[in-house]
Amino acid sequence: MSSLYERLGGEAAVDAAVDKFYRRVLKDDRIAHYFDGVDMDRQAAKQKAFLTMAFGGPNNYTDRDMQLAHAHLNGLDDTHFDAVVENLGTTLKEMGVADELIGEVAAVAETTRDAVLQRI
Amino acid sequence: MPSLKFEGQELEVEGGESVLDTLLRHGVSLDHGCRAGSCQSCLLRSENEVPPATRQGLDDSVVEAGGFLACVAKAKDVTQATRFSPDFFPKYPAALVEKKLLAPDVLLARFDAPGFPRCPGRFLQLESASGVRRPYSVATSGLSESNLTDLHVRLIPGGAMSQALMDAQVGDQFAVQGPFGKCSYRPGREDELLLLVGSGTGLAPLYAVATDALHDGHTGPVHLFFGSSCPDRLYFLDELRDLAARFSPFKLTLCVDADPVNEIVQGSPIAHALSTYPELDEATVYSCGHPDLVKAAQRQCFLAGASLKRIFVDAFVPASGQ
Repeated sequence: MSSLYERLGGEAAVDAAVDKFYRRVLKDDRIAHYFDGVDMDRQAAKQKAFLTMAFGGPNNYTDRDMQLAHAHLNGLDDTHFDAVVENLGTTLKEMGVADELIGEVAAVAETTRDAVLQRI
Repeated sequence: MPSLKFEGQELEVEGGESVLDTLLRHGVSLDHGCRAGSCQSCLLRSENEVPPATRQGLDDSVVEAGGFLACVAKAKDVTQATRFSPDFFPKYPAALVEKKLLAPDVLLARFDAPGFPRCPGRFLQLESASGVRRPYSVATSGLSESNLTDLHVRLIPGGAMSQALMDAQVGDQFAVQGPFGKCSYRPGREDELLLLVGSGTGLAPLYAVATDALHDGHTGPVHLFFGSSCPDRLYFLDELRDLAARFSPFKLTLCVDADPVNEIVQGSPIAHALSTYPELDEATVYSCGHPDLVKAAQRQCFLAGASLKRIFVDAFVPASGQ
């Protein structure tokens, strides 16, 4: 029984998703301002790391890492987190990924909510 | 207990932790980002051999300089490290062989630097005999057979390197270090659109990349959008028009903020680039020059569909306080 990451297509799937996901995020008025002025190459690398984790792939993130990484973002709340997960879902749908796999990815992303929103 | 020597300190290492984790645990303030070997923020340098996996994705010159990624390397495998510095890149003696003004405030400085790799579009650190160091892009035409290194230097009143070059005689010794940066022609997609967007001396690397592409037989459009505040600030126009006349893939659009004359259009080079090519899914983009232009070009071209991995930028930031 292969892992979620393998079923999604591994690193190649992440690479295909990063540009699409990042583009959606930059065009989403609810969250775009959090990404303004950030070095784009560095941000893309973080998106890739986030997507790798959300796809069930290898990652070294701890809750503390997620918390620290988002600590400086003023006014970050559940609506912003929801917007990111929504964009992730739309990206995967656009790529033709099956609904139940999208659900599994959303569930993995969900496990970071409290850390991201400084609630741990 | 295994330990890691870091900038004079001996730090004890726990288990199989990464170099990054060791350093952070000991309170070392080290830049880091993705923790996955991708963003290269945690680049360090070791004098010793490091496992190849810790150098994945690094430029050859960074590898040669001893670079490795702290988040990938296990502390027990790396016994010594320091922060990475461009000082570790190889330095080559460079003799000034020619200098001439391309515009009232742009100097062509041509160097003979044996051993310095041919790298049109990438940049180097130029060092004068008195120790002034400034970065410049390699402007040498990719169509030229010469091994000389051309730089287009914006002359800044009171600028230390500007003065050094104005005072320099042919034959004077400088040094060059590098190459740095990602602006280089990548062969393999010869019929795609190459979009080049720049201002001021950002022209230098774009010209080098364009000529390199044409030399390589690129058949797709190689379209340069070159902008400035007014027509007088555009330079190298004879060479550019000549290139357009000789090579059908090369297209030139000159842009100014005000007072357009002849074929020069009004508006920013990025605005004209996007109105000419609104969809950039199958394009490679290069943008060099003023940081505001370059950042806008990167973002807007990405939003227009270009892959971030195919957008290569170089923002020219003047040295301050010199």
